[in-house]
Amino acid sequence: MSTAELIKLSAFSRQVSRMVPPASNIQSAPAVEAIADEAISFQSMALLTQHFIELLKTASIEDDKILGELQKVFTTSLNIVGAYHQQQTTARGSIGDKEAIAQVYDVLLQEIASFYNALSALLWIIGEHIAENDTILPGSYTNADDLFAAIGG
Amino acid sequence: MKITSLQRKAKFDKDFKALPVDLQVPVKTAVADLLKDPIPASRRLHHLTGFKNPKVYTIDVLPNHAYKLSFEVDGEAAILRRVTAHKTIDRNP
Repeated sequence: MSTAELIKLSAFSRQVSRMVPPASNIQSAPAVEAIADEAISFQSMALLTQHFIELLKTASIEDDKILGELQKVFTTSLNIVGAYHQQQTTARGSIGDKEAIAQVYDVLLQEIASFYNALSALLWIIGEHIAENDTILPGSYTNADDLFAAIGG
Repeated sequence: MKITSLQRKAKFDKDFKALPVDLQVPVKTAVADLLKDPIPASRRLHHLTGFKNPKVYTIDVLPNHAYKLSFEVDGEAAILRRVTAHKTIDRNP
């Protein structure tokens, strides 16, 4: 992965961490347009996340410090997005299915879920890069019990 | 895929020791399943498609898919890499 791409990935991690509004800023009764705008934002971020997943899959990143930092930032973001999804699910639950806003809320929930799942996949790839750089420990085992005895578990 | 021996990376030890105690038995069972031929379908063996190392695979640790284990294949050896949570939200609950 080029330096420029890594810089963009770091910028993306910062953008992700800024995109979910703090609970205190969430409107109690948002307009349909505001919810739709938010759904589009999450959809865009999910697509951008997919872009970085594809870049990362084939990249060579040997700097564990950078990988560790990205893992930390995206883990925090994943937890925030998960909590936000839960919060919006609760908000949706208080709206009747026949209200027009309900359909837009359902779209928002789907887009938040897609973004969350994409972030989770991105984190998995970052973790695989960290494992890729890791060393193989001595020892070869023909059964699982012996392996876990060696681990100490 | 026939696996006859197990090795592991340091990251796997770290991940395993960080797991909740009640997950350690399911992980041991999942690793034991790697030595079965074929690996049980319930483990949902997946190739990590497109990854720079083409020998990396994942299996599920739990039936609810909440934890996954990754390994790479070297001949008939499985080199365990990671075991950790794999969080997802159902888009259509």
